[in-house]
Amino acid sequence: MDTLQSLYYGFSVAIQPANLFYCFMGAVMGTFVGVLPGLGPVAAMALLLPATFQLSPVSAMIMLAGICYGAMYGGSTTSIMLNIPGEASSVVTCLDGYMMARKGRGGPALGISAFGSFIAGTFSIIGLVFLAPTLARFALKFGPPEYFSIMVMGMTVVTYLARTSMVKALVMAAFGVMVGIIGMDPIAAKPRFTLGVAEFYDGIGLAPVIMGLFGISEVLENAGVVIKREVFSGKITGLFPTREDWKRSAGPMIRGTLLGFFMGILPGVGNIIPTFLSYSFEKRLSKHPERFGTGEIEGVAAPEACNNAAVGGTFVPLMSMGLPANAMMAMLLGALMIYGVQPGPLLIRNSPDLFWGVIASMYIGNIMLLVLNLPLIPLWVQVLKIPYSYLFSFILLFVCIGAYSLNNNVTDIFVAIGFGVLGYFLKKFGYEAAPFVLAFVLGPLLETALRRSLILSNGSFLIFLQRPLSLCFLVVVIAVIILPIILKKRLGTGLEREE
Amino acid sequence: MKTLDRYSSLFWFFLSVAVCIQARSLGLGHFRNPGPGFLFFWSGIVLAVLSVIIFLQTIRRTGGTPGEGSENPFGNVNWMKVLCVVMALVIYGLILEWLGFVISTVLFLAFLLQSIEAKRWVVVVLVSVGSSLLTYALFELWLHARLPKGIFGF
Repeated sequence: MDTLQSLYYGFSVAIQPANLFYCFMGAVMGTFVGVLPGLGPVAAMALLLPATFQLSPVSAMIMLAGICYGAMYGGSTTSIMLNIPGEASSVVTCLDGYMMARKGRGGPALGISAFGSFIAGTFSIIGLVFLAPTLARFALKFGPPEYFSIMVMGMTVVTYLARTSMVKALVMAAFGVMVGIIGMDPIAAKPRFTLGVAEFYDGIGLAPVIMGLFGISEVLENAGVVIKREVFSGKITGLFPTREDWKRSAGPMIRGTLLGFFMGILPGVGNIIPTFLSYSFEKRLSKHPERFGTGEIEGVAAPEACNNAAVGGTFVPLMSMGLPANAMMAMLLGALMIYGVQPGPLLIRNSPDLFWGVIASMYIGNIMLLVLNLPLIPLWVQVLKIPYSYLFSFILLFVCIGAYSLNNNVTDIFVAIGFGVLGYFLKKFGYEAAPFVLAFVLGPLLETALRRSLILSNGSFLIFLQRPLSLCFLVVVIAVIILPIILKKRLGTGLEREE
Repeated sequence: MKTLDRYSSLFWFFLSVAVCIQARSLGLGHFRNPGPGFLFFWSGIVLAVLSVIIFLQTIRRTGGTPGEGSENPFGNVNWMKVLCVVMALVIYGLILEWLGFVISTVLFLAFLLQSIEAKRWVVVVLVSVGSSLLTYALFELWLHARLPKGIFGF
């Protein structure tokens, strides 16, 4: 079968010693940064992105994918041991995971979380292997109007699933588009909104923006408020879940995986909402729902599996169509463009070593992480015990070094600082960063698609409605905007009550 | 959050007005051939409309956005510390290319470590100098990252 041959090719790329090494480095560094409180996978990828510049695009992507998965594993560790979610999708793991740690069952919680993530990751990679090429062939039929509509749909869906106000998330999206298209106009070659800064002619860099929005703002948040941190200092014994644990976790893991993967594929959904849904779902299915929140292993197994499956799912639109489903994928898209790889439906065809190599290395990475994480957990816990002042000072230092080394330019440091301060205030005023990041990355693509569509149609906006696919996407957009007004509630907000 | 929402909605409104005005001077082009300012202008319009919606939402009696508590997110913030961190970052950026990586980093770390949580001077000095040299070795010598060299040559 053609797919198997390609997979074999992918493995041959991934097991080259250099690539194995980069996969390993990515996984370790990703886990380390993921363990650090406050820095999630997106910030981890941004911070470690400059380290990948010396490498070939394939190796760089392998390392980045490793960082991505690693950071997610690391995030689970902080959720369980510290009750501090490494990133938004780990919030749910805190609920039962931390309680398990307090009951002295931190080991099995971490173990089940690692195994569940591994199983889910493996499954979603298989899904990716079969779905992405098919979707890519389908996406070849897309023209500028379809791209425009699907991007608008993706952004609207992200805002629909926002955890706070949808209007505020839409504000972030609109603002993101604006900031994203700053720079030279691609057609008229005129600088736009560059505020006189020459470095902005090519647009504001994605990495410094993310480092600032997610990294620096987090540090500022913590600098301003004194948090009493309770590291679970009990000895971690017995990392292996018992047979009873496995029996109870099997169902939740399978359900979490399926839910995560299929929801993750939809543009705009990402991995946060499926994780919340998975937890609610398990709670409803359980014979003892009242025990959820006191340390039920199902409450860890399902969301953790869901999390990783959703990440695999979000890879599908990215690899097959060049469309990022959430901020994490937006980061990867930005990275691909920096490496000079053209994302889109032709990616699989033009760069098979990249696509199949990354897939194979994701599988290898999952194995590495499983093997790595379990024995290294005591080490990570030690890292967490480092006082905040040291941790945050180093985070800031690495952000600055990382930002500088992108272009050997101090301007990038100031961009990071600026977005850090902005991110701090946005959080305080109740605005979320994720829609902004997605819109920021999609902005230039959106503009190109819009302009091409209008040139194609000679100025008529009807082109978006006349082409059937584009019409479908736009119908979803309208539904997503109108539904909350009619139903007076949204998917994302109801889940707030779960906390 | 209501008052905060009012402030933020006003901010977005004035921002979008400014963007729209500037976008017009860039040239909107025609629908047949959108100009450089086209998407800026229309995003600005969308943003303006949204900001008005936010503002109006604060007027409704049972209004306010879902999923938020009634505590003031700005209460309990130690502004001095936040300001210190921002100042440290800005100054670091400014002196980095002048004094070079090593010296700037020592000063940066020393200031940060001391201001986030007060410590003994010996510890601060040891950690700053040690970390600075370590990261220099890591990034410059091993990863060949080309960190800025200042007037002292390193």
